[in-house]
Amino acid sequence: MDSEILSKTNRLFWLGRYVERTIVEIDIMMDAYDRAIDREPFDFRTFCEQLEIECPYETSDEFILSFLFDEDYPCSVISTLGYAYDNAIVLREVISSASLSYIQMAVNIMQSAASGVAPMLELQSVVDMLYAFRGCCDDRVLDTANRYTIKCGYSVEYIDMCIRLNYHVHTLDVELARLQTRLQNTPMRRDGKRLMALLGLAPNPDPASNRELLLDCVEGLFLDA
Amino acid sequence: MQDLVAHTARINDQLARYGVKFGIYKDGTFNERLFPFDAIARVIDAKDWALLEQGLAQRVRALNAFLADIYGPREIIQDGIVPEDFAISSPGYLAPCVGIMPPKGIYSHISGIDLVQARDGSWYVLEDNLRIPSGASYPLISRDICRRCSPETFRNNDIVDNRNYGAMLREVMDNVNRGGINVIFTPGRYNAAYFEHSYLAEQAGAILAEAGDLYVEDERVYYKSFEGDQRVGAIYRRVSDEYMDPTCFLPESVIGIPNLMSAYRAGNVALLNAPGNGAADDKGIYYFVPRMVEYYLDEKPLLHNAPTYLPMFDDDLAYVMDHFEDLVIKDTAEAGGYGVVFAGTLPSEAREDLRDKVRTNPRRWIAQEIIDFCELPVHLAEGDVPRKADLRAFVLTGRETRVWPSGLTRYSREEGNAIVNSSQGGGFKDTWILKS
Repeated sequence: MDSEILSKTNRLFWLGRYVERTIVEIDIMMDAYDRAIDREPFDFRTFCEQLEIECPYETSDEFILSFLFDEDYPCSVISTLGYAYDNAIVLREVISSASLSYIQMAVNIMQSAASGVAPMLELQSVVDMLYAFRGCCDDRVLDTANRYTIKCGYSVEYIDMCIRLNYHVHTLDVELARLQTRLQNTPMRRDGKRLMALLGLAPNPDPASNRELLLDCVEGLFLDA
Repeated sequence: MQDLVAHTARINDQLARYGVKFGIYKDGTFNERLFPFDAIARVIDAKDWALLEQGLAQRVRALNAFLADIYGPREIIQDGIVPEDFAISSPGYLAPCVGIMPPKGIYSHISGIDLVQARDGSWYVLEDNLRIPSGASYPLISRDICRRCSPETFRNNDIVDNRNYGAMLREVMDNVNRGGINVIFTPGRYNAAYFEHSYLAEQAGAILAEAGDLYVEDERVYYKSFEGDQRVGAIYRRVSDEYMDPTCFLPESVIGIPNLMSAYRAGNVALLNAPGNGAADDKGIYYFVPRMVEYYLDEKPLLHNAPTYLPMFDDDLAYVMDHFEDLVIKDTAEAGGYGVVFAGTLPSEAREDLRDKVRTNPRRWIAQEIIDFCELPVHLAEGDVPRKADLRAFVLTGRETRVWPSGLTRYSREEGNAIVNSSQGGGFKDTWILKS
């Protein structure tokens, strides 16, 4: 993706995806961190397999900290937030300085959390900033197509994470319905076959049985992404 | 102002929030740094500003006339005011620009003029920047934040509002637009001034574009977008001349737009600032600007240059050799505070080495008397300290030539250091123009 020149619409979509991914991953890691207090190990190897990411770590504790804060680990949360920033920084005139400032603050807090004494508390502030970003975009991104393209990014990532990780899977049908609405307002071209398949599954997605099909449909939904 | 100064840390936090940064390449690595802000503003009263405003506008009108002349009839050379060799041998002089008349005859739309104030209150111009002068965004965003931090300061002081820079820039772009959208053309996010590019795009309602977003077809420039490609009428380019168009300048440039110059030459797009402006902001050509004012405008220059010597003239070379230790020597091939040497501070061997360089390649160097310019107070935790500071004023040429009622005041962070550039670790202040 780095070698390609991404159009602004594409960047908006990926900005949405990376913001959503950061929020979901922090939520999962905060839960894992909490369980670790009671010596309940986090099954990080399965987690990595489900996300199809490499896992160079040996222990649960090591993984949790690295997955959150290791800037040299390209799959870490801090890296994912960095990718959101990379897209946001070139979209200032589209999303507004006000919206961009929330991403900037999330990055600043994440960096401080990495060396802080109470990282979980600071992670909550990162999530707060990202939700503030979403609210600010709703208000400040006046162009409907741009606004909904970011939202398509949120939805696609959320659905992807639901399917892969069994994360809040009971909300999957709601998110699919939400994506359907958002699709009507983005200029991004979609794959008709995949869209029809996705809409067919939307009322009862059943990710346990339809995992591969759902992932294929949602990942390949947008032709230009 | 004390109430405002008490908020210095908060203001800097807010600047961090908005990502007010500049980039530096050091040892091949790109690093972004926050630009330190000092809340003690430089204050210029209305009377002083009125003189500066007239002088700055006058200077830029003369520089625009000079550019139109040397890329056209070259009357100033024929009349012996500027030596031909000198004007044409400037590295900023671009042969492909000869004979091109930019829209409405404007070459320098956004000019950054660097000044210092001597202890007696008089102002001296140190440098003209007519290519891609940076810096307006910093006082622009800091003013907004300062007003929020200390409303009473701005209620109780009669300060001219400077937040119209985006509107001024837009007017300048609209004035020369050849039909289509306005674009700010950036080399990309790893450019030192990327914050400024993106912030000004937002403020001026322009599209921020990189090379890959733009293309030329049938001598017209287009911006690629999902909604269909859009014609571009004006480009505020923040890419250096030599990288703008690989088909015309450096072929290895990957941040340029192929055939941009052909669209410009055909009159289908305005470029702000015009390519080739380096011929007028060369550190050497600076020497001739007061003469340009008299020659083109038939007016006495209202602003002074720092006393300057051109070693390429025999008399000046003799003076420079005799007074070498007392002068500041500037390399005309350098920018950003690099290549500026106070000869008296050099060890004797290095000083003699530099003296030889000036003697053997006099065109490359200028020498200036050291101006003991004013220090301004800078707020530190341990108290206020004096630091050297300059002022970059921004002059915008649209339907008329207007001076932005503010400017970037840069200060040195080290005691006694006269180099104030951000790339050298300096900070910045807001510049207040008083209404009365």
